[in-house]
Amino acid sequence: MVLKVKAQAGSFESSDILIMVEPVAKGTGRTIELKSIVMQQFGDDVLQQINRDLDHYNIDDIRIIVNDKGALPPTISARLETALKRSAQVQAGTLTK
Amino acid sequence: MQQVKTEIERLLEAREMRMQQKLALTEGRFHMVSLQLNIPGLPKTSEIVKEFILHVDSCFQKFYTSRCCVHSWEKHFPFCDEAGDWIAYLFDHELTTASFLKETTEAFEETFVLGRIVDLDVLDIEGIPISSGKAKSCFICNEPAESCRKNKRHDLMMVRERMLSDMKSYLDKENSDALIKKVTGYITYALLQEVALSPKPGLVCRNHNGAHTDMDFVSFLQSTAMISPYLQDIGNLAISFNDKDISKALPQIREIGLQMEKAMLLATQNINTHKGAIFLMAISMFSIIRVVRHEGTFEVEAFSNTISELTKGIVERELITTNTHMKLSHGQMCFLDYGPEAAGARGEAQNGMPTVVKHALPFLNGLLKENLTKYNDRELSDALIPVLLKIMSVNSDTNVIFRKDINTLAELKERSQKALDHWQKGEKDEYNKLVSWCNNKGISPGGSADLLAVTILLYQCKYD
Repeated sequence: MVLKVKAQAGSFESSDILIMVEPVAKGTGRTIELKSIVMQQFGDDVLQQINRDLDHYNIDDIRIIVNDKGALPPTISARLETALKRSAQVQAGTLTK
Repeated sequence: MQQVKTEIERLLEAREMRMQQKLALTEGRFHMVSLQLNIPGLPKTSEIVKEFILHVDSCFQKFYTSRCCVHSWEKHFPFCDEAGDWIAYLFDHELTTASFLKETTEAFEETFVLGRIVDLDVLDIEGIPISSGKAKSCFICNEPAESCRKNKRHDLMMVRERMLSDMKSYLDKENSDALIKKVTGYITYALLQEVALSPKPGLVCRNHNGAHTDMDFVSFLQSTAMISPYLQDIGNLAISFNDKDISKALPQIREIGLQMEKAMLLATQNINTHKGAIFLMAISMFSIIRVVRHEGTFEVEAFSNTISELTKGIVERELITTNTHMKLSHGQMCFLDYGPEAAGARGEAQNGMPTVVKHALPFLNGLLKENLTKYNDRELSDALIPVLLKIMSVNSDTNVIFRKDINTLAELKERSQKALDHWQKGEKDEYNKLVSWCNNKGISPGGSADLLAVTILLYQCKYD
């Protein structure tokens, strides 16, 4: 998947997650900024999951800002997928600011 | 081809929309408090959920107003989307701070009984969520809620069912408490309105003691005030009583009734102002609460049946089988002398209050068309005096039989009917003659006055 524009998906509602993605120059690598209400206990799990999903989409260069309100893994994957598709402009509604 | 969205997709989409909606609402002018419920599983809304959130809404409004009287929310909107019901309160940013709102919402979540289901979020004027970093406890155990959720410590459907059933019992309790308070108020009013009605034949009125020398208007006010609070106990009994045979509730009602009598005697320096009224109002309170709880609304016929079931056999047990060696009440003595026609309040109750439901109430329904609160003193007097006459014309009042005799009762009934006929033609002379006759002869139709109070009570219930 090729990222083209800044995009976001999700919300700051309880048990949801707000994910903003931004394309960066090739070779820059992944930058993930994570804030979570369950940082101490589950921060690493959320990071691992996001990295696994990015592997799945073959995305190596990206900047992601994540604000997690306690989302469960299926929600995290769904929100990330939508953010990526919006950025790649394969799904309508980029919801960028 | 239009893709069919799953429930989960619609839920995720609704949450995104909701966030956009919240950001739009702040308009760069408002801090926003949003109230929503944390209910796992689908659907997010239902009748119970809606009723519950509206209740929480009114509780939060009171909570906030009591803690901050100088300013309030500018706008208040209820919403419902795929992610459930939610309510927005918008506060002018120049009048309050987002941190004060956060403190207040957190205090509410902590004190509200089902606070763990309730989720109050604060967004500041920039649309930034204000977080205190405090972790909420789990609804089921006392661990941090997020950790239970992430670790799937409890079965989701179990949590959902528990929450819904807790909401239901909470609303049940709130609704029955409100019902009990309201009917208690109706009864208190009915007793006060009856004594305030003036002039009345032989009865204590606002400015006249009628045929009485040992009590006055104030005795009735004092007694009414002191007996009223006990009605709530009878209301609670009506809610908790679950035997199929409701006549078994009568002794329990009477225990409370005896406390009421004691309170009355204390308030009036041992004068009996309300003994009959206590009996009638106690069984009415119980029956009204039962009927509303079972039928969902007040029904006169169901009320009449309940009263009669509750007092089943009371005439046989307490009037027919009495003998002269016992210490008898006035009502019992009358029955001994005159038989079934003088069965008094007991007979009235056992027959389902026919004087009220078959005569007085239909008569009052013909005179007034709206809730009693719509009428002033004059209008109420004009309607209630003929109702009292109607009752007096049919009721075999044991108060009259006991103090006078059965012939006086017959004459009273006749004079009442005559006064009523004239009253309906707009002539009040006969009524005034009846008033003087009763006052001078010492005739006080106290039993009819009690039935008038019950009629006022039922009229209020019907127009509730």
